[in-house]
Amino acid sequence: MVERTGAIIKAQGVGIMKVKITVNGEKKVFEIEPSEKLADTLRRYGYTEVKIGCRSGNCGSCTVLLNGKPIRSCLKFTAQAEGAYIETVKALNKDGLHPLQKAFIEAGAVQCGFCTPGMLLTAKALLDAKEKPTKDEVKEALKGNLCRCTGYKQQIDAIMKVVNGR
Amino acid sequence: MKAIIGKPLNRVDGEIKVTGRHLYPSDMWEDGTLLLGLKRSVHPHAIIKRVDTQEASKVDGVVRIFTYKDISGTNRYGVVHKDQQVLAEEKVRYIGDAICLVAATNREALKEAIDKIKVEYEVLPAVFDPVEAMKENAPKIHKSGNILQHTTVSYGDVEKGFKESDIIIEGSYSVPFIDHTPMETEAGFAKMQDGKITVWAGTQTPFRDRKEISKALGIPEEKIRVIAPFFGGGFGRKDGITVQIYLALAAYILKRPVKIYYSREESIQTSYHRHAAVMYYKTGAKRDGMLTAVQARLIFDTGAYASFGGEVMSLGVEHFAGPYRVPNSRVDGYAVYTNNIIGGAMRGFGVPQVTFAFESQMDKIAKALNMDRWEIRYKNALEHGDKTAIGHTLIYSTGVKRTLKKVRESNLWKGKDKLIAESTPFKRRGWGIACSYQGGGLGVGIPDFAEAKVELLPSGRYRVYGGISDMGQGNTTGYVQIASAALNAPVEMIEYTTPDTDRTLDSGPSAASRTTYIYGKALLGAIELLKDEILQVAAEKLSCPKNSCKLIDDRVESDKGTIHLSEIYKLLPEKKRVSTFYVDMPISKDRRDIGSGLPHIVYAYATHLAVVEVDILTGKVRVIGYCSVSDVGKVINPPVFEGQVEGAVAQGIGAALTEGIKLKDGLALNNNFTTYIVPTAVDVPQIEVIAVESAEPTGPFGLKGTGEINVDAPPAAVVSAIENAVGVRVSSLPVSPEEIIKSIEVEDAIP
Repeated sequence: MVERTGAIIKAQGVGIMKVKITVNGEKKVFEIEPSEKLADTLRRYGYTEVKIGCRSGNCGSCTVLLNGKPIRSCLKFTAQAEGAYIETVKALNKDGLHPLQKAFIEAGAVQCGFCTPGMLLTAKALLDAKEKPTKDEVKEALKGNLCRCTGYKQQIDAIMKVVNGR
Repeated sequence: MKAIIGKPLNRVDGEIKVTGRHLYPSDMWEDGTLLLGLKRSVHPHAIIKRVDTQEASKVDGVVRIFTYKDISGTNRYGVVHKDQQVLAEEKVRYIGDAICLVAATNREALKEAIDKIKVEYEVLPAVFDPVEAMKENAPKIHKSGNILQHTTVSYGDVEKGFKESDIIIEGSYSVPFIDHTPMETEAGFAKMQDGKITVWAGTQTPFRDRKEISKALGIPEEKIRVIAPFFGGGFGRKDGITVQIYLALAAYILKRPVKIYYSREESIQTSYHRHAAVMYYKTGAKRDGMLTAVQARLIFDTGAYASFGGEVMSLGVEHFAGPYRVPNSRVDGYAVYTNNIIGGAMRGFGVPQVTFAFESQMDKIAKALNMDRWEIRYKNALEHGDKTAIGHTLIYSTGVKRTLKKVRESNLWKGKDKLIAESTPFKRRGWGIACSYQGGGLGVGIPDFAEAKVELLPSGRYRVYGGISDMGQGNTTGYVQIASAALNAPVEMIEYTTPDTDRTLDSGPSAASRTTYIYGKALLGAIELLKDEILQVAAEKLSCPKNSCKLIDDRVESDKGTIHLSEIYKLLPEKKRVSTFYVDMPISKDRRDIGSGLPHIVYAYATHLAVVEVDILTGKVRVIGYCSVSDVGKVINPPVFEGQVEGAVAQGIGAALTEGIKLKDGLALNNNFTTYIVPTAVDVPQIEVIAVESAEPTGPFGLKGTGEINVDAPPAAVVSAIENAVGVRVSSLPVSPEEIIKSIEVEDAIP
């Protein structure tokens, strides 16, 4: 139902440009308008695991990894991502569930789950950068990802469980 | 298999969510989908003189602009009062009233067309203060007048109660509109499918939506299908019509797939909110702390439309004096129209407002009598068989005293003195306490039922048809867990669905802490019927008495042999493979005369303990320790329970310290996450979560409901702790650091 090829962009195609981006290991060419944001492009091409919660860079739902670093894809112009490697949450479970995904399920860290993809990517970036972050560092990293269902404890616990298992 | 109840069970929707596979309402799309958007009123109160869509229609990519003239039904909706128009006809009553619905092929065209629609208004005087709106000469927002509902309750003799008291404490309190901010705003997708308008939406009420769409658009219900997949949070905001009718209208007329997804700013301005309220209290007590009388006047601002205004205010009335014995009371509640944003259902539903006010009153009495804050609560706490402050009898599990006792055993209680003593220079720490109770279900006078459906599948597996929306709270997992226990089968054998008006049965809203309680109860009934059919057929096939047959996992066993459920499936007539069961919510036996939606009879209870740190240089408050003890009946899935408690407490801390919509002439000034501040991972302290599990005789496996109870007490507990820390009593939320500093200086200046 979401396989989408149609464009949301203007039909007459004024100013359409092509951008080459690698998403979850696959090389893609996206046709975009210069003003389009990365979150919109990704969602338009079917990467609906990239969520949009505010379009102002505050909620973190749209977090993706750009060359390994977490960014707000609702603020980034797609054109700025030319040549980049983008990872969405689906990159995590290419070969079965990632330990973070498993830990999130087991800790009860998922309620509505809308913030989950962004949180998982923030957590992955932290764990990639640091072998044993402290609980406070985990909290600090997560503070840019808003969740309205939980009190963040279960996500923090889940991440610490992965850290402690290293 | 009953052993599964009370044990952690991973959520059935966990994997599809962590892998990003689940399609939320905002994710749905097909080729050719049109985007929908709304032209909304920029005035809080005005007559529409003229709407000109000519220029807008010419925008490349615009497919259609709808006005009320395109609607052949009533063009009205509203849960109780049908006072909202799908598209405004003659008048707008708040900033955000929808005037035109635009369908376009792309976002830019949509935006451009909305900008180019010209609306001429005759601006009317507006009113933004509910107290002003109640006055005779205030601008009339609806023909019926500005008082939507007045609910009054008397019990005992309040004058006598005040005469008998040794001390009388008065206080006035105010709370602002609060936004639920579910991470997914209002969203949905619709298209014509098999001749039916089919709507997928983030909705807590698919069955009620179908009725609302039918009436508003003049289309028979059987031509409408509403589906509620797992969606991105609700908390009451999606209890009623948001985007559903727009989707149905456009899909029906254009015969194309359509999609709508509100921006955060649009959502905050135009959706439902926790009601702002002003509350005046007078409380009398004896020297020993026993309450003798409570009188209150509650004014709830429902904004431009009713939504649940009357019902939310009524819950405020019902719970106005907390979980305490009050022999004499009088309360007047008003739900009042203004030209503000709309008040509606939000987790707690009127109870958080009055809990903040009355728990503050309790603290003041304790202080005046030089009594301990815990002790005064314990002395007055309700017990089984007691009458509440509105005079109805508690006949089911009543655990508030147990929560009060238990809080003293918490680590935070035992460690609070040390934690407070560890304060650093220019910081002051203190602790606070608050109790609350919360009725489950919809209350007297409102149909409150569930009809569960369970099916035996060809493979010998089962399918539970979930009839109540799962907005993230985990009720679907609860249904699977309950079915697993009752069917004596592993959870892997149980499939589930989320609500779909064509497949599941109407079981009412996902609201009022009722979802697992009432649907679980109905499900147990349906399972008993199905089990009976299965065992009957097995007994016949195995030629043995039915009572010697046992349902174990995927088979029936008896002394005479074993038969697999896939065999049973073949032997059962088609009709008997599916069973349904209907239950009603229990209601109070007394005080049914008060009105609609109150009182309740199954209550959850809580005691909360907060430790805060106040920076006396900046006035900033940080919650550094928190403990919630709640009685929600039997906890069937501890991590889900914990998640509900922590989420509710986090929202309550937000309400205490940072949240509240700032309105200027009806316009929300803080309409995104830059300015509307919700708690982040560094703002929520470690929360000690404790359950006292009073076995509820009416509930499935003894459970009550968990959804709301823990959102009520946090503001009162935090405010209690602030006073304990710096001697400042806050009576208006959210807590203002400026007010705190000002008050500290004033108090220090007084010798």
